[in-house]
Amino acid sequence: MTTQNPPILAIQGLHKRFGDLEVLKGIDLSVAEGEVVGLIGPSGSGKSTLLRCINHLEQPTLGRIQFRDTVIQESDRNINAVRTKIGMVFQRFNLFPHLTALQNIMLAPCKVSGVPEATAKKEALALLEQVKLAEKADSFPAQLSGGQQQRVAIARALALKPEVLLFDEPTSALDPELVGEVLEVMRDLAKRGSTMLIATHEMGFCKEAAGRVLFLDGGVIVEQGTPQQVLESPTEPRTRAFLSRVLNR
Amino acid sequence: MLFALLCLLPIAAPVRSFAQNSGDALDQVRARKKLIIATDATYPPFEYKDGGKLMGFDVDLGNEIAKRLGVKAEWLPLEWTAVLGSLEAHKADLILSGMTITEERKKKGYTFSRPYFLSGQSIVRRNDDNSINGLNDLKQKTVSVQDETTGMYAVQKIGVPANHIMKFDQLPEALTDVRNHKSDAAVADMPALKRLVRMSFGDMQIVGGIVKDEYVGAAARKGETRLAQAINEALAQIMTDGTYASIYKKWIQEPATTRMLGKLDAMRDQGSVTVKDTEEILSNAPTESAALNTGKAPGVSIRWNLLWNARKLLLEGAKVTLIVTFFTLIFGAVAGLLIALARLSAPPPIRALMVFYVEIVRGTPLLMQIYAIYFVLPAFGLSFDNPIKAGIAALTLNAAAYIAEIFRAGIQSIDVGQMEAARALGLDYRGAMRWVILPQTLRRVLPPLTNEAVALLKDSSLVSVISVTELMRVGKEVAANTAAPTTLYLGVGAIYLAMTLPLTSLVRKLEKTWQTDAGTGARPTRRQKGA
Ligand SMILES: Nc1ncnc2c1ncn2[C@@H]1O[C@H](COP(=O)(O)OP(=O)(O)OP(=O)(O)O)[C@@H](O)[C@H]1O
Ligand SMILES: [Mg+2]
Repeated sequence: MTTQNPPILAIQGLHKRFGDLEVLKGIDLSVAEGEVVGLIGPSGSGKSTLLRCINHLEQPTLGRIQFRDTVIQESDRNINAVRTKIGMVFQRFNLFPHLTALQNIMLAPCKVSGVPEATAKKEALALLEQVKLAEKADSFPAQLSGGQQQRVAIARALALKPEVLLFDEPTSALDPELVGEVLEVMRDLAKRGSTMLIATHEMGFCKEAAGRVLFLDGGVIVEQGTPQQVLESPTEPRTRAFLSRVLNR
Repeated sequence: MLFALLCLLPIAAPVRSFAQNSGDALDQVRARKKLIIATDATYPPFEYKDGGKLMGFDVDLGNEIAKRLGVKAEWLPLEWTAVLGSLEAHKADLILSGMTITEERKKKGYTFSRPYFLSGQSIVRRNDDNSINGLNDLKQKTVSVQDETTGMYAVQKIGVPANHIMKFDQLPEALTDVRNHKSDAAVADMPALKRLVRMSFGDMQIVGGIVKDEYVGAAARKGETRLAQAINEALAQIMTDGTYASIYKKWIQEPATTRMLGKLDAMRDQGSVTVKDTEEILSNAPTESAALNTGKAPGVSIRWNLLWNARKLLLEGAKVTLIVTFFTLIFGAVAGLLIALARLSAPPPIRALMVFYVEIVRGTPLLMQIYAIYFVLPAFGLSFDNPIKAGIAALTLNAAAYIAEIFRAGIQSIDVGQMEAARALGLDYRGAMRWVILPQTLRRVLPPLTNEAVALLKDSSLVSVISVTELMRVGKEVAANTAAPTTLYLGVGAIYLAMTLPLTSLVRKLEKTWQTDAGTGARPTRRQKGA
């Protein structure tokens, strides 16, 4: 199924090192339009680093990242334009505390794309509706629960109508009872055909929502395939060890 | 960048003359039809302010001198140490400030006129302290003096150890020190002492008469002999046509004796004037001190009516203090923000320059920076037409460095996730700063900025040294005039407090709001620490 659509994101030979520590040791990955990719792996395996290299929050040390037909480069003056096409959701939400939920969502459309305020507001309200927080439009982040904050953050990431969404452990900073509402929103996005890359420890969610699962360890993709293949009958011993650790907790 | 450069000047540059306008001082005075005279208006009866108006023996004399030169006198009131530097900095043509002619000062480069006043150093002590009756009794004592005066030199010369010499800016402070038993005696000019004892130090008396004849002269810049000559001619006229006698009577409140005038005339060739260290004239000492101490209660108590009478002046001074503080804050905040941003994101050379600037400002005394702006910059052709502006400039240079550090700390205290989230949305660095980082920084730096404002309000008193008549300076002037430093400084302190208290309570309020804010709003930062 991946081969039918042209890849929206193509990564080749991606390396990333922090000083002496080489975190990514050659990643090749191509993501098709509408694909939902789950990224699993032990802590420190480089899941966040991989996602952050894609929109250049980290500069890759080596390798090539292509978004549609644009090669993303450090020197690229249009990195900001590319970023508007790649939405990102952070583990710690990173909402702007001085702005209301609505203003958080409107900021990029108004200040980056120059959308008129009235239009931006209408669209932002629609997005809040989509994440089921219409009544919290005028609340400040501090007045929202963690789950609500993360849903606003997702709405904010959607505001520029990105073509790819990057999720970096979107639920792992949440209290367990709040995880569900966020996963609900993401499930909904997947149904709508969004292209998503999700670093997560939520194996259940991966199984049901992801089309493909990657197991990352030691800076390389150790194993990949459908959720059934990777999560239920992994071939690599490292994958098996990881899964038994996670599932037996 | 300019800032940093400016701050280097006082270290790097010996003061050079900038007199591009041709001619010597006399030609310049005639050309601009103005004789600029520097004076320290806290030295009654020679020069002081009463009701905000400059007056005194020297003032009348200076106006007469200017008249005879065919020009107008313009008075530049400065602190004494600044008066001494004003000639070299080309701020003034002449010093007329009860300045004693000494060999030491001649060597330092002052060109003196003929002496126009015969003065002398006298000793004042508490009425009940019989152990001091002459100069030689001071050797084992603690003596208070006015800083950089001939009184101080005299005390040093008889061998009083440096740690037993208490130096004060103002004579009344020196006497108050004696009153409080912190020092045993004060040594200062006889006319000034007389007036002080008469007005509010009735618990003290002058003993030992004039311990040393001293000749007071006008001082011009080094090498300005033509100006000195012209002043001499004017003085000769003034002293012979009766003008001098009436000025003397008016301010010294005694007739000018022929003996004294004869002495002055004998010394008219100022080059021959020297001060003999051991010269002691004890002749008419007892009568003098007896006459001086007639019926005046010691003025230890607070004289409220004085404060009330001076309220207009004091409030005027407070206004100047507020103006200086206000503009310094505005300019300092803008400059400080720019410096902070440059330190965080400008190219490395500019960044280094900013670090350098901040370190220089933070590592040198504010007073030195103020002097640098006022005295050194003119040598490079940069000058302020009005001391308030110079004061604001100097304080701004200083405050900008501190405010830059406040902003830098504020910006750096914002969770990095904020910048990342903003950049991930496609905002460029400037946009992220403008819309995300700075609005949060501003709320965070408000309390420390208000603290800076409080500090600034108090530090602004330092610009009084360059003749800005702000609150502290007004206080000093009124204190000198009324000889009631305790009362005045108490009043001045109360006014400062009245200005700073609202600010400090504002800080407290802001800090409280920020705290409740931080409890919930700054959650990302907390989590980051915990993670
Ligand atoms: N800015 C950085 N500087 C130095 N080292 C870093 C930096 N960012 C990440 N690392 C290191 O790179 C490695 C991979 O980190 P990364 O955050 O990508 O792991 P992860 O798979 O997301 O782990 P987790 O599940 O804990 O989020 C870790 O060892 C981490 O310490
Ligand atoms: Mg991670």
